[in-house]
Amino acid sequence: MPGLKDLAARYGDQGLVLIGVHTANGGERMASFVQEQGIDYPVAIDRAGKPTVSAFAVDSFPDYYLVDRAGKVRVADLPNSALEATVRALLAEPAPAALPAELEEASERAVRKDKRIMVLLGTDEDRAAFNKVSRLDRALRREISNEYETVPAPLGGSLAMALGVTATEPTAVALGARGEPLGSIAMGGLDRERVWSFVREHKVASADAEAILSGALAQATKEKKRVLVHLGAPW
Amino acid sequence: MDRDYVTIKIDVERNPNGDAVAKRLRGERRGGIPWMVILDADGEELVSSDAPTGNIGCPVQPEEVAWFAEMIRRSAIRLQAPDVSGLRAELEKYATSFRR
Repeated sequence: MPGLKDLAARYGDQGLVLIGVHTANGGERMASFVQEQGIDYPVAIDRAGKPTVSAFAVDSFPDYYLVDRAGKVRVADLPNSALEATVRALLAEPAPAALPAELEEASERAVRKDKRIMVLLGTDEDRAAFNKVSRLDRALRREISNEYETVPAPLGGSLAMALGVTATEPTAVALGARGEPLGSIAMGGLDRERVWSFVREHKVASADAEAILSGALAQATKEKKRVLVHLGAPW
Repeated sequence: MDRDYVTIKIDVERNPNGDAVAKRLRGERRGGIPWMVILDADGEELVSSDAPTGNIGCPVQPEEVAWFAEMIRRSAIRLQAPDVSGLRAELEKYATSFRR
């Protein structure tokens, strides 16, 4: 603990944010312990059933998980001896560019619905040609609608520049929910198969429903619980 | 909820086999989506969101919140009546802002 306090103090002004997570077991004593030790970073207590421990596959205590400036878990299960050097390496990376204003609303929806963003750079006619490909394929149209928040934008505009697209031909750009670039494809001359391929390549990977259910039933057996199934749909 | 329930969400369109699992769990019952069902660890249905008046969907109205609490009451293992009342009060508070 003194080592972590020292780490937080030395690297805090460079952007290090430390969050402690204590297991539910003994959690009732955590508040007084934090006070006694003068710990000034937030310390959370895992819930019963150890969902945080399970989610991070923690196999020893303490265990360290490092999240980079873009919010990605970059290092898991880090030994104590490598902690400071890894923190320094991640802090040395540049902060991600701010989300372009044109993507803010789409990003908010994409994060909330666990979707991706597709920016269609070109003219209205270019986009109409792109949409025409999916108009004849109901499943493709639905796939795009289910998996992507689409954003129209002109070529050569501020969004295209922000995305680093300098091409002069109409381009579809797939982005993560927070605007991170995933891939792009020229929209001109696309056929249905290539659009399907692009859409599938960059969509959020969804787990098989049978596997989700069987996993939940196995957990319920082990922990003597019920399974609450929520059936939903994108619409 | 975590004390008694493993909670999962299945999207009937986005999760592969979502539609098949939905049909198997729900059978011929209709009433829109969202729909919920509570299963025991063997996969047997204990209670669903089909109240006597129909599927409560996302529980917002007082009678929907009441049925959700009833679902918990009927299926809970460790949760006791005060816990169910507490859950109902929390849901009631949350749902109020969505009421017209």
